Order: sequence, then C-alpha cells, then structure tokens
Amino acid sequence: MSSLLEGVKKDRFYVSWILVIIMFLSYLVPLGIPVTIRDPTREVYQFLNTLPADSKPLLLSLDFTAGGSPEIRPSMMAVVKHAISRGLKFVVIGIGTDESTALMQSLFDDSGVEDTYEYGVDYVGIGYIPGGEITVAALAQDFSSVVETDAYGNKVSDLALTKDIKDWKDFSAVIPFDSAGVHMFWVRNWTPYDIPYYGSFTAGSEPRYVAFYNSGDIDGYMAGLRGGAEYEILTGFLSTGVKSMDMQSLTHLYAFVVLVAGNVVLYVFKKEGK
Amino acid sequence: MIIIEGRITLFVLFIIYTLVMIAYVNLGRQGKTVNLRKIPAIDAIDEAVSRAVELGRPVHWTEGHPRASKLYDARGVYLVASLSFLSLIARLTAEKGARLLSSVGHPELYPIVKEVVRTSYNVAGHPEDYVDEDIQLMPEYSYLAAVLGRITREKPAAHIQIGYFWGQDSVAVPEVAQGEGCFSINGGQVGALQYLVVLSDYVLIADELFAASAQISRDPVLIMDMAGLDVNKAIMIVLIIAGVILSTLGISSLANLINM
Amino acid sequence: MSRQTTKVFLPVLLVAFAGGVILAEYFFAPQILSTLGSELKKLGVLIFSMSMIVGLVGISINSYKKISRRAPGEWYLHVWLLALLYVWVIVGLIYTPTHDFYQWLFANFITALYQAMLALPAMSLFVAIYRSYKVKFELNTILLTASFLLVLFAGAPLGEAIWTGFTPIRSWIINVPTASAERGLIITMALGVIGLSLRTIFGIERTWLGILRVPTATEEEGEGE
Repeated sequence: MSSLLEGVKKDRFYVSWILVIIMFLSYLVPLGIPVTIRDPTREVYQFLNTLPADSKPLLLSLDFTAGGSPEIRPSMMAVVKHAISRGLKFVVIGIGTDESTALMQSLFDDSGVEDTYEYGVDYVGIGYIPGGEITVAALAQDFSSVVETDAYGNKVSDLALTKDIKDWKDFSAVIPFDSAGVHMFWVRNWTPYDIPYYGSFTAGSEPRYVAFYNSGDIDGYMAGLRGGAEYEILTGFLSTGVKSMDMQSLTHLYAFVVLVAGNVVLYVFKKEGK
Repeated sequence: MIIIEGRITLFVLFIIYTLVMIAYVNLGRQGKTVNLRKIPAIDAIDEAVSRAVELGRPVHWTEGHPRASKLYDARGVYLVASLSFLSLIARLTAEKGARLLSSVGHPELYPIVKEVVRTSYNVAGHPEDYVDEDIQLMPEYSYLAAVLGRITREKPAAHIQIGYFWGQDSVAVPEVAQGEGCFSINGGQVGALQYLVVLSDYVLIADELFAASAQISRDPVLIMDMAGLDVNKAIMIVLIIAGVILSTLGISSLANLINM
Repeated sequence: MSRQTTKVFLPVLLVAFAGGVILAEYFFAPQILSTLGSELKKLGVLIFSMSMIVGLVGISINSYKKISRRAPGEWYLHVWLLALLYVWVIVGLIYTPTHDFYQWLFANFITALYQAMLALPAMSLFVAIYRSYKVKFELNTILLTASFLLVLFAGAPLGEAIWTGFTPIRSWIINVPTASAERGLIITMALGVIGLSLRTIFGIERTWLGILRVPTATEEEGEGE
C-alpha cells in the first residue's frame, strides 16, 4: 500500500503519460469500432443530398479556431466535399474569429474546389467579417450592405454568385461551423427566418443546442468529432474524423477508469487515515 | 406598425421589467434597503487576500480569453461584472499590503483595468503601492499559455478568475492554479460552470456574478435594484409555470401571446 | 469643463445614448433607428480595432520595461514576444491572409502551437477528473459515476458497441435533466445580464468607469460597532 501512496504523489505524471500512450496506440492500431449514425447528422446529409444543383447558394460560416479545427474540420470538409460532388454552390464567410480567412483558404486548397468549380460563379470566399452578433443579425437583413468585398478584394456586386444576394431569402440554407462559441448568434438571429438551418459545433455544446433541435429551430446538426465522423461515413469521404473515433472511445473509457481510480485511492487514503 | 412584428410582447415585458427596476431604484434613492443574501465567494475574497499576505505571495486576477467575449457584445456584461470584483480585490490588496497581478486578456479592457486598479489604490490611501507592470496584457493567441506561465512563475497564493471563459480556460487555468496551491475563487458563464465548480474553492453561480457590485458597495440604490431584479424573476417564473400548465392542457393562448 | 463632467457625466451620457438607440432599433421599425444603429455598430467594431493597437502599444511598453531592466527569468521571453509580435504585424500588412506565405506561417506556427496549447486542457481535464471529482457521499459517487458512464462513455462508439441501450438513456439525460438545468441557468443569467445592462445604460452601474464605491476598512469597522 505504501508503494501505491508513493505512486499517487506522482499521479499527474502517470495519468498524463498513460493517456498519451493510449492515444498513440489507438491511432497506430485502429480497432475499427463501428460508428452508428445519429438522426441529427442524418438530417444534414438528407438535406444536402436532395437539394437540387441549381438551388440558391449555401451560406457556410467558418467560426472555429485553429485549436478547434481537429474537432470541427472533419465535418466541414465532409460537407464541402459533399456539396461539390452534388454541384451545390456556396458562399463562405467567418464571424467567430479572424482566423476564418486563413481557414477558408486552407479549405479551398484541401477540398479540391479549385479543380472543379469556378470562383465567383460556383463559390465565393468572403472571409472574416468583424462585428460578432451585430454582423450576424445584419447579414440576415441586409447582406449586401455588410459585405462589400470578398477576401481577394473583388467587389461582391461584380461576382455572378453574390451580385443578387440581398438577405436571408437568397440562400438555400445556412450552416455555421463553430467552436468559438458564436453559434448562439446564428441561432438567435437566423432561426426566426424560414430558412433551413444546420450546424456543426463542439460536442460539449450539444446539450445547449439540442433544445433548439427538439423545437425545430435547428433542422439538423453534427456534434463534435463524432458528428464529423458520421458525416464522413454517410458521404464516403473518409478522413481524420473516422480515424479518430477509436481514439475517442478509448480515451473516454480511460476517463471513466481514472474517475473510478481517483475515488478508490481516496477511499484507501481515508481508510489509512491519511 | 411602429413596433416590429413578433416583438410586441417582448417590448411589453421589457417595459414592465424597466418600470419595476426604476421603482425599486427610486426606493433605494430614498434610502430604503433590504438584506441581501451573503454570497460566500465575495466574502472569501477577503480570506484570499489575507492568505496572500500571510504567505507573502501575490493575488492573481484574470477575466477571460479575449476571443471568448468582447466588451461590446452580449458577453461584455461578464467583463463588466469582473471589473466589480477587481475593484474590491484591488482595494483589499492595497489595504492589506498584498501584491495584485492582473492578467488582462482583452485589449479594450486594458486601460479600464489600469484605471480601476489605480483608482482603488488611491481610494484605499496607498497610491504609492500601485505597480503598472503588474497589470499585463496577455496577447490574444497566447492568452492561455501566458496566464499558465504567469501562474507557474509567480505562484500566487490566491487565483481569482471571473468573466467569460472558453472551455480550455475554465479547465486548464484553475487546474494549474490548484496544482500550484492557489486558493481559487472563480465565476463564469453557464458553459464553464461545470469545470469551475469542481476546480474551485469558491464559485459564483449564475446571478451571483451580477449581484457583486451591490454586495460589495452596499449602495442602497444597487441593493434595491437587486430586489427589483428578484421581482422580475418572480414574474418570469409565474409566466413559465403558467405556460407549462396551459401547454400541458393543450391551451396555446399564452404561447400565441408571447409570440406576438 | 470639470473633471466630474469629463470623467463621469459625458461617458455615462454616451453609453445611455448608444444603448438607447440599439434598444430602440431592436423594437421599433422606423428606418432612422436602423440606420443609426448600424452606424453605431460599425463604430463599435472600429473602436475594437483601435483597441488592438492600444494593446499592441501596451504590450510593447511593458515588454520593453522588462527587457531594459533584465527582469530575471523572463526578459528573454519578452524579446521573443516582441519579435514574433512585430513579425506577424509586418507579414499581415505586406501579405494578405490568402497569400501562400501567410498560409504557410499560419499552418506551421499558429495552427500547430494553438493545437499544442489545446492539448494541455485535455491533460488537465484528466488530472482534474482524477484529483477533483471526489465526492464524500456514496449516493453522490454513484450518481457521478453513472452520469459519467451514461453520457460521456455512451457517446463514444465503443459505448454503443458494448450496449445499444446506452443511446436512449443518454438521449434522455441530455434532452431532459441536462437541458432543463441548462435552460434554468440560462434564463437566470439572461435576466441578470439584462439587469446589469440596464443599470449600465441608466448610469447606475459605473464600475466600468473605475468608480465603485467600495466601503473602506474604517467604514466597515464603523458599521460593526
């Protein structure tokens, strides 16, 4: 028992290193645990899969940071690749963080959109627009006054895709990808309008937005890495989302073991009078 | 129509809310007051500063990640609430002779924090103890690293973080502070509470954050404003209960009225 | 103009005007309010952008002071901080965020470092789970462990693979008790936010001016007598 007590003094060290080992092993040796598709993700897929190619453009908002990228990027990439495969047009903006422009550019570089689409006709990248909730509210009511140029300096009034966009009615759906905590801005300001609303946010935010999904304000969502993995499976564009599922399962199991172990150690300490 | 459709009931509720608030503020101006429930976390600030003096270590304050909130958006109120606490902390550190380290994440808050701390030191009668360098702006992208580094280097006796926090700030910062043996008093938004409750010695839950200025200053006007707020909460509770009962009975008149 | 006017009255008046216009814009339809509101919001964004410059100057001065007096253990960190700060300012001004060089810097510095920093809370979370999630009563222990198992673990594919019954239980926990508790907290905090905002607009709350009349120790002793 004294060796256990000695070990507990260095508990931080052991807890952290065991976690690191589990993460590496799960990545190197995939277990292939099956991932079931949940209804909210399926709603997003159904919508994009049935949307006609000549529909109004989608409004995609990249509101996640470089740090939130591992969790949100899989769903974003899967959605964009799905849209491209179906010939759907889209406009990309960013409200949450000023990294949006750089993230948008990396999205264009990695999704292959430049190989199949024509800029200005099939897709437009506006980039970061400052102002937070104020801007989100203004975009719904008067898009053209808020957005004057795209990220490359072109006037949106000169681009074929955006020249006629006035307000929310000129989009077929809005899909914010959020890890910066600005999703509520979109929910508050866009769900009152009659526009299909889908979202991607961190798994920790799911309890907050599930109420809006249940009430019908949000039509579907992808929650965290799991949501991204589900969408990758549905679309067939398998990537980091699916690869990370084994790691997620094992780290969650480890968290449970650590919780129990912590309480067991406390119980042992109590018994030993320490 | 002058009032935008869909916001009429909201406007009426807002007017009721404001009238109740004005009525109670007027009572406060007449010197009337009520007893406010003691908020343990606010009383604990005194204990925290005393601990810092005993141990000869500083008190550390921070208000949150600069990208999680902005002073000019809906989350700015958390920053304003945090400033109330900073006034109290600064006054106590000035009086007791502890060192106050302020890690400011928001550039727009930086001059305000300097002013608040300087004013508090002046009012406490110790303007010479004010150290400008102890108030540091933590650059946006490196806020977390900078705050963790400061806590690890300076080893404060007390760590007080009150404001609006991202997930990582509400986990890593209190955990590292706890690891350094700090006495923690924390408060934040709903999404951060689950971590703060576990990792803090004292935590400010929900509305306690916004009642701070009344509790600290004991100004009758602010105290009566709190009382007015409680009356407004009671009105909301009645509406919610009525709505639940009516909806359960299949009567949608209240829901339709709210949606007007 | 007296100090009271410039330091208190004028700022309070400005806040009351700006807050009043934004509130009015939310409720009332006239176009003039909408126009005024938009302009104020644009001003807000401008002021924030200016505050970034204030921050830049503040950091530079602070770092310079620490470098010039060779603050032990940290002066070289401030040299590094200033170097990186100004490199990014210059790169941002010369190359736009869509430029390849900016993208390379962003991917290899910002993204990599940011993700490394975010790995830290993950470690901290596990250490916190081990150290802090300790409860004194058996019932609380069971509840905590059960909710951990049913919500966190059940949300992962492994949990569902072990037992499919986890999914409906998890859905119920998230949709009913968690959502209810969260809604209650959100409503309470929203009312508190409204209260604080109205106090600020009406000039009752002046903490943001550096004015909070905190009773001094002498006054507190007097109250105790």
